[in-house]
Amino acid sequence: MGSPCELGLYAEDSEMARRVAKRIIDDALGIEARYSRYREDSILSMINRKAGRNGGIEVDEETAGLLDYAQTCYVQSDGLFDITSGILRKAWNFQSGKPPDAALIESLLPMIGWDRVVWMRPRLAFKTSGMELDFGGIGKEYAADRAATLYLEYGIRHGVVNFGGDIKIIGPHPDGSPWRIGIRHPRQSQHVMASIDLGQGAIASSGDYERCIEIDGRRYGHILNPRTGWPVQGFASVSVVASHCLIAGSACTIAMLKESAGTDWLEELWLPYIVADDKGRVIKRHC
Amino acid sequence: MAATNSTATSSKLTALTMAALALPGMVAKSHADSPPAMPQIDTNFSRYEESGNRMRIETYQAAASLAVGDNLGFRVNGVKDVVTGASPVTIGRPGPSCKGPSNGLLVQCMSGASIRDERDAVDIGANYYLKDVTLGVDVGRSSENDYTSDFFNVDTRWELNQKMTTLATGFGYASDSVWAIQHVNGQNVREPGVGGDKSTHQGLLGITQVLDKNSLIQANLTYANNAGFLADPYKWALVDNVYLRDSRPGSREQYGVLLRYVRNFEELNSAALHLDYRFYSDTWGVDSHTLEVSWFQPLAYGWQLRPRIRYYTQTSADFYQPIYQTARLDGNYSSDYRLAGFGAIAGGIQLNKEFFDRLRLAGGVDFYERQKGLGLSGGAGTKLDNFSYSMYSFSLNLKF
Repeated sequence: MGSPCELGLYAEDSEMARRVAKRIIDDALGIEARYSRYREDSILSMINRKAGRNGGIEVDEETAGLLDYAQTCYVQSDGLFDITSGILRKAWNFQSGKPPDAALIESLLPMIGWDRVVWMRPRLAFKTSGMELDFGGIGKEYAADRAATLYLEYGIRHGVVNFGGDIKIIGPHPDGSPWRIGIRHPRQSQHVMASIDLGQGAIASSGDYERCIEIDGRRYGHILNPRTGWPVQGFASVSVVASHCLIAGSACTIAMLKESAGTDWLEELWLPYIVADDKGRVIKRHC
Repeated sequence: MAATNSTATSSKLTALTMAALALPGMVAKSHADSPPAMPQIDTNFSRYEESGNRMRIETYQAAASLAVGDNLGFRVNGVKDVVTGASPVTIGRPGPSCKGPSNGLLVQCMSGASIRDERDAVDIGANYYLKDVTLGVDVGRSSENDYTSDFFNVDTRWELNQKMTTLATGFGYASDSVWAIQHVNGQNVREPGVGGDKSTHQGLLGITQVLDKNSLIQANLTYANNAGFLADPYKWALVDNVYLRDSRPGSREQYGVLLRYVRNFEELNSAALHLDYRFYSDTWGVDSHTLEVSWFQPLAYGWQLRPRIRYYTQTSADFYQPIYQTARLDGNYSSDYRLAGFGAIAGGIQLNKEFFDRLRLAGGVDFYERQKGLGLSGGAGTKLDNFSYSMYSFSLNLKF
């Protein structure tokens, strides 16, 4: 999944814990195999190869569910959450530290836009050739929620899933006490900015600190506006608590994409959230 | 964490939640869909006590279940009831042949208080779990000194629509024999010529639909067809001043509808509201309505509280009368209080606690008050049959 993943659970015995963990790891690896953009044989790579052809491509139930979810995010974010924007990574290399080629960004913009996709379940077609989908921001969160479901199906009621900072709580510790989740300080990676006690539900975080480059003293985070092709300039970090990782994760990303309107958008969700602005001010709501 | 505003619903959040829950693997399969992973033992004791020193029933029940592999589960269940006390035989006129509570004009004739009967029942079942379908079969026998019943049931559950919808079907058959026992010189003797055999076929069709992550609705239709000896061999009816044996039609078709709504309140520590409405109607003219509300409240440290309240009303059977002035052409007579028109209110509370996810102890108390005047459905009946009962129960569930 490209980031450290942790499972914490209380089980009857270590054999049971091993069985559950193995099942969850297999499931997560399965999701990665199906939706990784790095794997030529993934469903995602096949979509990206074939959806631009005449008539598009027919997808399976699970992929259709993910596309429906992505479309819902697109609609609810007024077009900012867009799974066609991943193609911008051709212009942005956050490892290199080099500034992007503005002309390349411009040339990619016509290939971005969910409105350039025809999605008529179960058939998907790109209206513009060269377009690509990317389930970053959905796949890992989906895997975390499924892991939690597997816990429950094995009868485990007390546990936590942490897939690269996307955290789903299965239930409190056996004595009823909640899990204490620390939220990383966006500027001081060893420090906790805030902590929150959760006995159920999920929390996800998004920030400009995960992958970023500084050019001429200006910080460019990895969350890119699909309309401009440039990183958003809003919050340093956003964390949202929701029933599921998937919802918490997309809420964070959308709040980042909304920039200064992010907190207004979060208020409309009625979910607890913690944001830090670029001056390091922390706003906690409904927590 | 403070609760979010629970009364406001965000359309954005609803849209995201619906789309998320439509994905496969986001909702845990209910426990019925896979065999219990560990051997499990359930035991239950309850004590039922009617008002006015009438019937008392003590029930002991124990069940054990065991999974074999990932797809197969077995369960064996045993029940023992001990019944003591008196029960109403009929409504009669004051006189030496009828003893019991009276309103001057009529008397509720009671049996002697020396009744003691034991019922033993055992059934074994197996469930086979496929991907979306669960198949179940259960066979058993129940016997008393004046009753035996052999039965089997088969049922299926089919989950579809990404487990948002569950269809259930069931079919059952029971073959019963009933007779009457008399106490003669301290010995139990079978009364000749009284009783008979009966058979019951029943079917169930059910649908459960998850509405959203916090609510579901369920509808069950049931049908049963009884044929044979359907009367009560211990009951009598006063017909034109003569006591005749309880006699009822030789067949009865029963129809039932259950509508259930369940809603979880995450913000109230995952409390749940259950609303049940049941309608019942049979070809003897008995119609009934039941409304039940219960609330599951998880508390801290594994405690859970479940209060419930129920209202019931039924019309009397077409041929029922407390007493008969004249003979009936069809020869059916019953003054059994269970076939009268009446209403009832019941309430109860159960408290349970889970220890280490392995052991669950539960204790509960229920009260029931039956009154002619509580019935809204009309029909014949008498206040003499008013009674109440209380029931105390205690159960233990252990997973290994």
